[in-house]
Amino acid sequence: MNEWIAIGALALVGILIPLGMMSVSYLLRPSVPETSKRATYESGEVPTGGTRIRFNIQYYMVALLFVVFDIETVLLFPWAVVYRDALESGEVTLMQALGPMLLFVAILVVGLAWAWRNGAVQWAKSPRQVELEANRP
Amino acid sequence: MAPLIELHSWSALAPTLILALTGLVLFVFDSIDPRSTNRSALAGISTAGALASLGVAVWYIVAGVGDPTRRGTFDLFGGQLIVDQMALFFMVVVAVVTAMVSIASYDYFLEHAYQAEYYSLMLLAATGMSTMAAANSLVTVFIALELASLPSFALVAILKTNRGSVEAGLKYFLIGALSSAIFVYGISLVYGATGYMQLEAIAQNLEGAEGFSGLLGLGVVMLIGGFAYKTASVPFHFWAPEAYEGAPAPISAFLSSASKAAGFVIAFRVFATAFPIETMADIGIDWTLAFVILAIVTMTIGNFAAATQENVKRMLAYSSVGHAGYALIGLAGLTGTGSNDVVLGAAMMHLLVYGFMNTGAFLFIALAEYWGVGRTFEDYNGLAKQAPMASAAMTIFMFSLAGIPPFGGFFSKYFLLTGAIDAGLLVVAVALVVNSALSLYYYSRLVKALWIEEPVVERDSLTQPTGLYVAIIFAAVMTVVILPGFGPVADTAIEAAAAVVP
Repeated sequence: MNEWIAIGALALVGILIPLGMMSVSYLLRPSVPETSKRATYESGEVPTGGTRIRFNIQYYMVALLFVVFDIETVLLFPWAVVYRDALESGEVTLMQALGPMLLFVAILVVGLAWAWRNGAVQWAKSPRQVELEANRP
Repeated sequence: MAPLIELHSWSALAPTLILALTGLVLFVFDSIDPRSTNRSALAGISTAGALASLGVAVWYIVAGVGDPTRRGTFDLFGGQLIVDQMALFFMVVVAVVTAMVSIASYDYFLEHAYQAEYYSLMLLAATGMSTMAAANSLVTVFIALELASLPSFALVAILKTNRGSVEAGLKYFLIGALSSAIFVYGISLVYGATGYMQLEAIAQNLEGAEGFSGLLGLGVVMLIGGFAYKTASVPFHFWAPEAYEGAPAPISAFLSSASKAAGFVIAFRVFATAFPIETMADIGIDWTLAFVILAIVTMTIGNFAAATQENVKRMLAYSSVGHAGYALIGLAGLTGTGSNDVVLGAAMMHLLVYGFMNTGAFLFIALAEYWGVGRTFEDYNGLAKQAPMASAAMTIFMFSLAGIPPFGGFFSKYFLLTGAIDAGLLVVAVALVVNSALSLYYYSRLVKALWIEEPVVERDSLTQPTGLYVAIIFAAVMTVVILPGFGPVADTAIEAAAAVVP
């Protein structure tokens, strides 16, 4: 028997189960129309306004800065786990074990310092800054 | 001969590392003095970095790094990166284009608010392109490609208040995201079929993939899609005219020369190393046929579309698509029947010469935008009377792009032609000749506008911005003097190609 038949059968069951559940509940449930049931669900809040609104760019900046630290951690963890063993084995010098990680962190620090100095973590502006911004072409 | 100084094998990557370091120096500069408009310092740092990278790469080639009979090739990180002659050759192309564009940007972005951001993004993109030249595994190819692409999107859209620039950036980004997705899916299929990402390892395990020839074939087609995007070839070429036209002209120069060359180097390396044509033909996947078709279609579409343009920048953008078609002959000709190294070497030479003549041509557009003379052919009428030097340089670029004998473009095209005939691809050779003849029409149309036509409106006298002039004249001189120097260049390119093709 072709093994794809099993996959096809699985797909068929996968479609039939939710469709069956929905049709059974459609047949069994009482029908009580009400305006609040037709409203868009927003976690229990009363929905206001359209969905196409502008978010503050700062959310994006914070997310980007988070990625910097996130990537850093991803690489730091496995490095930290093997660091002591690697040194004790005597196969690598301190410089070889520590150097690349220091370089990596230094590159990220340059990026973070740059973002900081260019106002990526600045939520509010002083009147002087607003004035400076306005003067930029 | 014993080497003078024993260097760590990492130092083979110095041309790339210098570009990365320059990018970081620019970030530090901008952190110390945010929103600096000290253009001389910023353009100076990035030009110095690009020139240092260029110098080291040229020095390595002369010193025999990557030459199997002298210093040997450098395999780094378990074969993920490789520094051979082809890598160094393309590092030279990337570095020289970056240097020219940095100098030219000094004048072009005169009143721009985001100076440091511009130069650091450009250096980061150049780092990515330089890494692409050395990438020897599908993973590093993809990461390097993204490192080159992401800053490019921002660079195209850097004129924040210019609608054309922002639109071009968005289109470039969307098509880039689509083709990256296709490319990475292709990588996963190749990995699924062979079990390896490293290019030599893929080649060694192709026999085991015979049962998965469909999977592998689909993966190869998707990889071609990714390369077509980066090199602006059919079927992913349509972003190019939009992005090049909307982007600031120095960035158009950067993308259409350096980025295209980097796209080609990964295509050359992946197909020549990972998918040797004899083994692939046994499995039933003849990828040279795909490149034959793509080369003919790309050069024909590019040149016919260029011939109908009224806007000079858009004409150059389509001509850039046409030149991608010429360079694709390098892959189409790897049939195994002819001399593979000559045809691949010819494509590499063409990309080097193209790096000068096309960058120069786009920088002339940058100069015209700096003057504010307008965008169409009529707007360029009679510029030669007011700016004879720049117009003479532009004439050299145009004739070299068309492939007229005294200039560098003729020789690379001639090698491509002989290579194509040698490989038995007469159709491609005929398409190359016909398209070159057609391209002469629209290139000479611009030359005619510059020298013969009378200006439509009276212009004020034009200034001579130093940076733009230096870059344009340098590109023109290189386009001309590369002819006497073509012997060594051709030898290097063919040797580099011979080391890659089986």
